[in-house]
Amino acid sequence: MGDAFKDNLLEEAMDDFGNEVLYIVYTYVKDYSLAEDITQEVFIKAYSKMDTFRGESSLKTWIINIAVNHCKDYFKRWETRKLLITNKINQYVKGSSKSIDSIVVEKERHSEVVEKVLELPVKYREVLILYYFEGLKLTEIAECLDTNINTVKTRLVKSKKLLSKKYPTRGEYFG
Amino acid sequence: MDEKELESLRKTMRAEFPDEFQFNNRMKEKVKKEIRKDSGMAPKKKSILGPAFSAVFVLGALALFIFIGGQELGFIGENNASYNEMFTYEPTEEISEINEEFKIPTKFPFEVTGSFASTPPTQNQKGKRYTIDFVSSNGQQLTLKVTSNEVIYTDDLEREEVRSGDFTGEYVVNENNVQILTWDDDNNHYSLGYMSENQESSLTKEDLINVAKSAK
Repeated sequence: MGDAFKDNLLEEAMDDFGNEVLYIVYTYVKDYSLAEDITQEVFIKAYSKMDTFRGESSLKTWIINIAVNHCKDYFKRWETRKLLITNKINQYVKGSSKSIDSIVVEKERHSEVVEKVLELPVKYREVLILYYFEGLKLTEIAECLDTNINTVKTRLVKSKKLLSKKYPTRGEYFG
Repeated sequence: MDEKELESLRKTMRAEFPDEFQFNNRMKEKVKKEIRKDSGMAPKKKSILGPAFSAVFVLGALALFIFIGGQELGFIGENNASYNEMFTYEPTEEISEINEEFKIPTKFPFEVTGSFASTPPTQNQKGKRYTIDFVSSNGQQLTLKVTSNEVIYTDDLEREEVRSGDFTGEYVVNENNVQILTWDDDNNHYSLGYMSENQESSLTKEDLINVAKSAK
C-alpha cells in the first residue's frame, strides 16, 4: 500500500469518523480530555495498521475495532495497573471492588439515562452504544468487537435487562 | 428505560457533549504531525546520512535483541530461567498450618519471595476462609482465596470453563484486568487471582492452571 494511498485513507477516516471515534472512546474512558488524546492515538495506530485494511469490512467498522481495542489496551497500561494495584488491591482481597470506570464517571455530569448507560459493565455498554448510539447492525458490532453475532445478541438483551434493573419504569415509580 | 429512550440515546448524549467536544482540525494536525515524526506522511528527502543511521539502528536493535533473547534463554549471563519456568514454593509455618485443611500450590511461574496469609471475617458462616498473597520481587502477585463455604458469584462476568487433565475450573479476566481462576476440590472452593505492577510481566491462562494443578 503506497504512502499517498495511506495518507488519503487516513484523511477520509478522520473526516468521516473522527467524531464517531471520539464519542465511542468517551463512552469507555468517560473523560473528555482523555477521550481526545486517545482518539488521536487511535488514528496514529490506524495509520500504522493501514496495510491490514483489506476492505473486507467497512472503513468505519475497521476504525471502530481499532478504537475499541485501543481503549481496552489503555486500561491495561502500566499507569492504570499501578493505580489499580496500589489503590484497589485491598478491595480485591476483601472481595469487593469498584471498577475504574465507575470512579471516572463521577468526573462528568450527565442525564440519568446517559449515566445509567455509562455505568453498565464495559461488555454490555459497548454493545448498547454501538447499536443505539452508532446505529450499527449486529454483524457490524460483532466485527468491531471481534466476537460472534450470537454473543452480541445475548449481550444486547442482557444490557437492556441490566438497565431496566437500574432504571425502574415510571409505572414502578408512580404505580 | 424503554426502547424509545434507547433509540434517542444518540440525540440525548450528543446534546450533553460540550460544543467544543469535536474531532477538530487541531487534533487532525496533531495526528499528522505524530505520523510525520515516525516518518510516515512526510515527503521523503534523499539523505546521505539516513541509510547509514538506519543501518546502525538496525544493527543496534539486532544486537540488543540477541542479547536480551540470549539472556532469557540462558545463553548469555547467569539467568537460566525461561519465561514459563515453574519455581518450587516452600510454605512458611503459617501457611503450612492452612495446608493441613486446604491444598496450597507448590509451583509458581515466578520465584515467591514472600507469602502472607490473612483471615477475612466470615460473617456468621461456619466454614473457614483464608486469603494468601504470594509475591515476587518484581511486583507480581498471585492471591489465593480458599474457603470451605459454598461460593456463589453474583457478578455478571462470563466465566470460561477450562480443563487440563483431571483439572476443571473456570477462568475470567475481570474489569480491573485481574486474571482469576476458580475451582473446587474436596468440597473446598479456591480462587487464584493474578496481578502485576510490572507491565512486562504477564501470565497466561495455562500458567494459572499449572499453579492450580500443583496444589497439594
